[in-house]
Amino acid sequence: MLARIAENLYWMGRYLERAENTARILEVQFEATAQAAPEWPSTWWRKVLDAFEAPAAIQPAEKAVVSWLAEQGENPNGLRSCLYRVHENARLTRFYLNLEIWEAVNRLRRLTGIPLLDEPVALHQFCTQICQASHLVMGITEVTLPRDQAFYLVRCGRYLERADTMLRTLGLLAAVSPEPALRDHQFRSLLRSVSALEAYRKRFRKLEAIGIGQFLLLDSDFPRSVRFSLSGLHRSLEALRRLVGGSDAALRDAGRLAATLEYCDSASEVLEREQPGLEELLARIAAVHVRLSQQYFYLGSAG
Amino acid sequence: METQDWFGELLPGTFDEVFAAPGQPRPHYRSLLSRMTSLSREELRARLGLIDLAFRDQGVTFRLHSEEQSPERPFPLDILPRLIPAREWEEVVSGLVQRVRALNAFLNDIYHDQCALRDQVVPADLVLAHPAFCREVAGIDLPFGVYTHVAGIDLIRDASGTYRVLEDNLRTPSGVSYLLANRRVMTQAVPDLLRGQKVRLVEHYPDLLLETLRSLSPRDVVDPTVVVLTPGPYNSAYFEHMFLAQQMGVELVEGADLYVDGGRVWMRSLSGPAQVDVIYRRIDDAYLDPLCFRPDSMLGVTGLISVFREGRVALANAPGSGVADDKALYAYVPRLIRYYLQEEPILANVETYLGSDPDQLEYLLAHARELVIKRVDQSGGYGMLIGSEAEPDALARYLAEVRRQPSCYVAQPRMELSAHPTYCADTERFEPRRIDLRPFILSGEQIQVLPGGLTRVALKRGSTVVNSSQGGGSKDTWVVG
Repeated sequence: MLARIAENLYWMGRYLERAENTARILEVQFEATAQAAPEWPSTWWRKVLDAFEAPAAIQPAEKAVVSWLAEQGENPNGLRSCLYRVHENARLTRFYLNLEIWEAVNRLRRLTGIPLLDEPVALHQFCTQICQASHLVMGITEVTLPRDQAFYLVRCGRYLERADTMLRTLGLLAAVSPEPALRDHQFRSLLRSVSALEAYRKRFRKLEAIGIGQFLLLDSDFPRSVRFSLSGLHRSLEALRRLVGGSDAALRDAGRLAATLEYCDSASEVLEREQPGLEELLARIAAVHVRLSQQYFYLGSAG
Repeated sequence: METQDWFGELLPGTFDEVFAAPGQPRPHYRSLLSRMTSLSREELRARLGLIDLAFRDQGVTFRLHSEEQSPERPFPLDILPRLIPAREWEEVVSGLVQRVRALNAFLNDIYHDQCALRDQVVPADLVLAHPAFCREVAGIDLPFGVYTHVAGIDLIRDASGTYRVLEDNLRTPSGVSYLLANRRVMTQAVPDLLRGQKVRLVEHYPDLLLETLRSLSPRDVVDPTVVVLTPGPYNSAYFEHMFLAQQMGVELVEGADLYVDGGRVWMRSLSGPAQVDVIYRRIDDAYLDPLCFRPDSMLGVTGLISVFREGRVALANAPGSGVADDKALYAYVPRLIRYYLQEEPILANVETYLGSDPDQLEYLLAHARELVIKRVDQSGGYGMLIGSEAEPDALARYLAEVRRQPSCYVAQPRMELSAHPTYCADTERFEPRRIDLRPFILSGEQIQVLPGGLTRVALKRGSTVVNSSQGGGSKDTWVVG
């Protein structure tokens, strides 16, 4: 397999995961604000924008956030751009995928034609369909692709992206209102925006920042927690190295990072004492990305 | 489009929730109506389709008692929500809290000293001979003196718009899952109508319920085990049992999943027996424990009541709560409020004639045409007769039954329930339909009322029966401002 194609597969996984995560967050926040009284404060929207690295010029208000994340093609993290890139990357790597995946990706691509801003209900459908299409692609991958390089490259992309988004979403905990009713509404919508509300309720009875932090950062079984995602990344890199050989630099970085979460005493180490903090964890994920890009893609730039 | 193209004529002699007069919406409905009527017909149809689809996707259904083998049906949700201004709602809340406090005080009293019977506030017969009176509960002290932890008090508005209590549901009131599903569906299908209305949230109900249930735990442990006990998938409210268990993150169990051993209740779990602390039971008293009640019950748990009596498991609602939501006892609730709380009732009753009282029986028989007559031991619109609508034969047969067992019947003047414009697919307009309101009240250490409640709609033209079993639908209920 060409290094360039390998990179496309990795990025297909990342953009697919990014589209799903963004769609989920956007949909839930949009729904939650529709019935929030008083309105979602701008500090909350600012944190949402920060999580997606939006330029400071974007207004921290609902309409501008929806427009930035769902409408604008020039936002590299926006939904339309993610869908476009999933499609582009899949097109270049079709040889390693199969017809069913390709059809599902095409269906995903067609969603970008939907106009959103003047259609209040379209956003919900748009986001739901993106999540469903992403699940479909993942399901087909799981049940039809041989466990070869292509499979593990897509998987590396997904796990790395998932850990990254989750860390950014956890940043929202700092913006939760001190007012109890609004605070609980924000806790619930935060959990729902990472599909964790029902799973969280089964594990922790009370909605509180430390429990949410503990669950989303350190839970060993919840498939979207940072710990779970990083250990998935580590295992995928391990499998990849077994198939490809070469240096184990990226693998060791990912292993150290996964171990940091695995042996972390409690979420307050990260969220309060910042040893390491969310920013540092994000930087270390970025470092794993650089390391694996150097190793497998010769630092390509197809992303 | 013009208002008259959208809305049908108002019903005479009826309080209309939306319009103060034809074409004149009440202030709290103005912005909603202007948004709604700015939709095109096509847009409206598209939104109706979304609501329908969302309900099918979520699988929100109910099942009729009479059709066990039939498929579950969706519970139709109207697109136009019912709005209650916050100030009006606060008044209703204080009335509900007052009523539930008095009813719990009454239950605590009749299962202890029976002061109300000695002081002849309520006839002793009505309580002690009542099938729902549960001797097994007598003399035991329950946490916070509370018997009915989850209550649904049905409210209507009369022709002047005054809220009145139609009936108390203190056993296993259902409907809250529809209320929660309605709000979910509305945020998806009509976010633009919801936005800016400052609607009070309802989504925290599962948290409130769990908190209330946990506060009842007899064991002082960090994480008491709470379960929801259901009669099983053929029950009409099974969807709700499942939904609440899932939303609270607790197990949904059937009687056979539990057993009593060593004076405690256990759940057969995958990892071995787990001690159960609190049972939110959604099965009737009669089926709870074959040792105490119906020996043929397959739904209950043998020995459960003795564990409950020893204070080693909590039951919500407590057995025997039903004696306080009897249709005849209802007439005495205003007196109970005065007796226990020394307060005047905030929420009015509907005038009620008791078959057990000879004078009132005479009135009932003489004025049957103007009355709605109900059997005290039936609910859900069953066993009821609307005098003005009955065929002469049917009326005569019914009254003969009343004469035979007068104390089984009560009668009330026919109430013109308030009406609310409701979308009718055949005329493609919003026609007035009768509605009521079932708010949900949780009682533990404090009493909490979920904002709004389930607004039920009589979907058939001219019908006044809002029960889901009789072709009713519902509306999302927004406490606004």
